[in-house]
Amino acid sequence: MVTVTPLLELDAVSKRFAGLDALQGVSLRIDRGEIVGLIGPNGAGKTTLFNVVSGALRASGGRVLWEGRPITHLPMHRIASLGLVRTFQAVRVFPGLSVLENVLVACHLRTPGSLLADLSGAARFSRAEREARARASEVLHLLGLERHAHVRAADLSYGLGKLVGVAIAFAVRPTLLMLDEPASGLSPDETVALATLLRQIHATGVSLWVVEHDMRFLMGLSQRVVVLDAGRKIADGTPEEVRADGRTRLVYLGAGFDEPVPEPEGPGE
Amino acid sequence: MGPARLIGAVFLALAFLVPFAFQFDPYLVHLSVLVALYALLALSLNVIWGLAGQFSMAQVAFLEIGAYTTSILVVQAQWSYWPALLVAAGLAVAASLLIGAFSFRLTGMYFAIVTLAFAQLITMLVVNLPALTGGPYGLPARFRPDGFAAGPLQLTFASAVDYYWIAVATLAAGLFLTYQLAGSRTGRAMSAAREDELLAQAIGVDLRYYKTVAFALSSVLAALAGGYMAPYLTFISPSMFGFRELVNLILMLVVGGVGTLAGTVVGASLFVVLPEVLRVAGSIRLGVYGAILILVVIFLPQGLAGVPALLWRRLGWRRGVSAGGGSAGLQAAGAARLEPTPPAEPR
Repeated sequence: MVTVTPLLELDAVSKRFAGLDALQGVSLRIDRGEIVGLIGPNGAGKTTLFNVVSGALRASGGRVLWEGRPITHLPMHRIASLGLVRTFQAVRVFPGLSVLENVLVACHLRTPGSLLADLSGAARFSRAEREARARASEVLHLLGLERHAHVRAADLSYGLGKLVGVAIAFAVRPTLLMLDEPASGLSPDETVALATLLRQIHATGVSLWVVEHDMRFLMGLSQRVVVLDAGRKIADGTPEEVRADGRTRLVYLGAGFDEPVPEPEGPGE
Repeated sequence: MGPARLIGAVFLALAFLVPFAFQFDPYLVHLSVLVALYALLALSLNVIWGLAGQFSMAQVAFLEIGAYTTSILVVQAQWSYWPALLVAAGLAVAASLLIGAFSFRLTGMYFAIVTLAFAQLITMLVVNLPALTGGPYGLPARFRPDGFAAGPLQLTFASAVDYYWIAVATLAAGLFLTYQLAGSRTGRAMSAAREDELLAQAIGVDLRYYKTVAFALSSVLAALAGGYMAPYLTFISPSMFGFRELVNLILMLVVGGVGTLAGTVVGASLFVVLPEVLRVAGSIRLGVYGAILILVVIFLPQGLAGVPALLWRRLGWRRGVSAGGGSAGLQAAGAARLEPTPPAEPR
């Protein structure tokens, strides 16, 4: 029924740790332009799934397809250079570098360069360098980080650190940005600002795949939600469908599902 | 950008005037040559450790490869000096690529241990191939690099000062290239590998490539230092490249300042000059030397090269907006911000 090649397709992906089936035959697809949420109770396998897709862990079975081509066994940096970029659950930045340098590193990697030009200093005046710097200040501008451009990343507050994590990933020019609990540890106000920011990033043509525990945040943001429980996919549909789903309600009983349904536009607007 | 670069350039220019300042006093020129050679070696460790974050114990072995290869080719095979030096550097690069292929697949302590094993292996080879290397008794290196004219300067290598010119010119070139590298795309990727390997991979940094390039560059610097050292000292032996020298090298860079260009020169100067100055302390010389090193490590975690920055901060001067950003609108309205915003309405 569908002829369009999905951006990302998981075909019966499984991951077995010693004595634990963390992922069991997870299949799903993400299309270009979508915002997909991924929820599930602790230990459901959400982060494991992100690790397998991004290449940080190797799948025990199944296939991951990127624009129809298998990427299951590619190393992490190759997957990132295809446009599939992830963030991490905790604050993860290059601590000794300034915020600007953090973003600049990420800006360059999809542009070619030569070692000789870099060694001689000729690259300082190259077009690639100019474009990377322009891109970096664009990213800092969009995320409101200009004021902190010359601060060492190690000296940032928790909220700013998480934001720089998003900035780094966005600077790579992802096609699909995978965000692992971007709102965890943020204040309610920061969470609202984050939702606005993610919509802005989405508006630049980036598809989003978001793991989050904050239901209000995620249900408001996502166009589609996938539910994972004990390593299996148990539901996949619009936020309303998932909310009404019997198994999901069972798994999530009393975990925010009985809160009033937010408006279609969600919080933060 | 401005001041640091200017100060660096001025210091490099002044380095060429050092022998004049010393009025070509043989003892002081000798110390200067040693400083330049050790600084080159410290720089080589700084590229792989300070920039790319990979702790290497192979740099003294690269020095050894440089010294022995050059000497063997010139003394035993009658090569002329400069091609021999080039081959020595090439051999060091080949060795670095081999080590890299083995050890950059894995992360952590693995690389350090493989480089240590490599260093032991090289010394073992030197000791056990007496026909080629003179074995444990060492190898006389009584030859002079072929002379050439460099501008107004006629280098004949008949006197120590000519070694100073070549060593300091190589050091200046090495510092310049490293400076350019550190501020480039490649250098930033190396910094990323140093700062967080997982995050670096997540944004597309090919760790193995950048670590290998850094290691190869570092091996060239060390091999060149070795190639100059052999004819300058006219004699080399395995004991000059032992574990003790390795520890000295690491201390030199830590005291000078890991990850800073000035640190390589400062560390090497201190390392050469301090023991000489401390001769007045007589038999407690080594004790005083050790105490100074310990104090520096405890109170100056950034090394001596970090002192100006430390003073700068103490005095309360703030760094102005440095070049790089250049975006027009600071704090543009409407940009989403993850900072506490004034509460809109109570929840």
